[in-house]
Amino acid sequence: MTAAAPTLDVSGTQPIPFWRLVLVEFRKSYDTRAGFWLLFTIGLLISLLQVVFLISFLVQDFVYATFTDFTGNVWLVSLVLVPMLPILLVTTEWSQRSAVVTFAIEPKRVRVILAKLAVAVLLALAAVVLMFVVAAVCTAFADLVKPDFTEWRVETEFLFLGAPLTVLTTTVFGFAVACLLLNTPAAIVLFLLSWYASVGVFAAIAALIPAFADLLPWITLQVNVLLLADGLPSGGEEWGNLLVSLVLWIGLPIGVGLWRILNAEVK
Amino acid sequence: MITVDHLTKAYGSFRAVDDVSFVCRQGRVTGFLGPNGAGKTTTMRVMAGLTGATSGRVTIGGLDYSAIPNPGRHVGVLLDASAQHGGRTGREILTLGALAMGLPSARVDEMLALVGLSDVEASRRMRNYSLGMKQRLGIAHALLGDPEVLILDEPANGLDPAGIRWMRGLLKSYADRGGTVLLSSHLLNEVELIADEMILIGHGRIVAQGDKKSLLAGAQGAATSLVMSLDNTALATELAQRGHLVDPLGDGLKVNAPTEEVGRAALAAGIVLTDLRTGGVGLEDLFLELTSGTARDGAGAVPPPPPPGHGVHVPPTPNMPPVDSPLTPPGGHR
Repeated sequence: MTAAAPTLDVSGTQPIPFWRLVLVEFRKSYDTRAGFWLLFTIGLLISLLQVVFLISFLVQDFVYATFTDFTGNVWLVSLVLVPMLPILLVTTEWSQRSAVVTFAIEPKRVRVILAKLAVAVLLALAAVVLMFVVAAVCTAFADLVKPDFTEWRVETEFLFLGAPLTVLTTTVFGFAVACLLLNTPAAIVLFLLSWYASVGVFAAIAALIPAFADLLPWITLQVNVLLLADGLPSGGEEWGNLLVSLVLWIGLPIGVGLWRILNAEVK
Repeated sequence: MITVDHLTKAYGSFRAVDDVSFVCRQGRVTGFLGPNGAGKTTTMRVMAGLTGATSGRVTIGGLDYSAIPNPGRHVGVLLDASAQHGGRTGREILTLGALAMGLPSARVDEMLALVGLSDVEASRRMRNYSLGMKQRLGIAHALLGDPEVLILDEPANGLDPAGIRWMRGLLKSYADRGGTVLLSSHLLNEVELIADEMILIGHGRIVAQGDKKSLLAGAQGAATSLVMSLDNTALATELAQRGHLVDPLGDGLKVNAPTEEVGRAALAAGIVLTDLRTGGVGLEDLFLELTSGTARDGAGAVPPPPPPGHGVHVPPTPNMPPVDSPLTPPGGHR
């Protein structure tokens, strides 16, 4: 027991660079069936919904189509579809127990989680880019066939700010829910419930307790996110509403979830 | 190389690991033995930073696991061969590991070849693997970064006899090249043949440690012999008269006396011996004795050691044939 233990010579070893962790997590996002088909489905829906709109435009008479018309519906769908990516990316490590290996390779767990967030953000941006590329192609086709009824009318604020910001926000929201629950079905259910149902539930409560109605703008994430589509908040109170709802729905679950991930035993 | 220093891990009032200290030396294979739930896995999980210690510390080469940069290049860990995404192929799992550790993809093929997973097997999804194949994949993953230290939890689990022999050779040569190996098992036979040093743990505490010889020397009880003769009945009578405890065992006898004593008894009685060898105090007996107070009782309960000088037959526990017993078929586990 007294033998002097030889030390590990780690002087020649570099820590794993962050970009390599991102690369690994990116690969994990598509190298399983579930991951691949989720990516495929998101891509397909983003394209297909616009093509359906294009066809209905082409067969109908006296209907106008603008570039924004193509993206509008798809954007709303993307808001709930794209967040499934971080949910899957985070929770499968626990449901498949591969976190044991992941965290043995990189014991600084927060780096792994940040790499997952980075991949989610990149994929969300890719989804937005795809949405606009398909919209451009569809508009061009519509312009070719029915030039008199087609308008380009690109809303740059939505294109460069509203759409990316909103999709990113819900993606990070999905990531937060996933970190909090570390369970795939539970995270999906809580995400959808808090996105769709919370508005109705809050409205119902406000009907019963009038004072609660004043709180609504501060605590309803969906409304605040959708407002972002038209650009950044204009006044101090709007900014306050947005930030408070972000902290409540995203900051809090990420904080609790990260604390749990960093301190819990990995089984 | 691995230093466990007064490690304690408590879950509420339950102490899964209770003030455990030991050292795994470089160039040696250290066996970590204990019944199920003795605290082996918890100790190894603390080593890899997956479980926090309640008190005490584990260092590898003087460093905390989390302080080792790119730890896969220095420490190979296999804690649970099933803890991988079942939907990934074996090759994909190794590729992800190699990518994270910054290794060329050729290393994946090397490791697959080393552990004997064919191309066809490597391209199957892991949920379709047998336990033995998962273990091979897990060992390949642990060896991926060419580490100096290996920490393997129950690596022989699910391996067939040929696989266990292959693994022994692998770990032995790895230690001979200067590597440090810690492997756990609840089966003594697996560890006894390769471990230079053994640590016996029961109920979260270390009950004995040392190499095989010093463990046996410190063991309680007298030496035993295993003997076969042309007339076992007469030999048993002669030995019993001399005050030795005799148990029938297979085709022969198990005697609580040194081989020399048995030889003298046979000589005096004029009985031809066909086989006489030392049963030592079997390590198995020692293992069961040391952990008997802590093993999970039930079907596998360990019978209490017989009082000396009383010829009761102690049946070997069904799932653990005695070491070196005549029952061992030729070409068996040795």
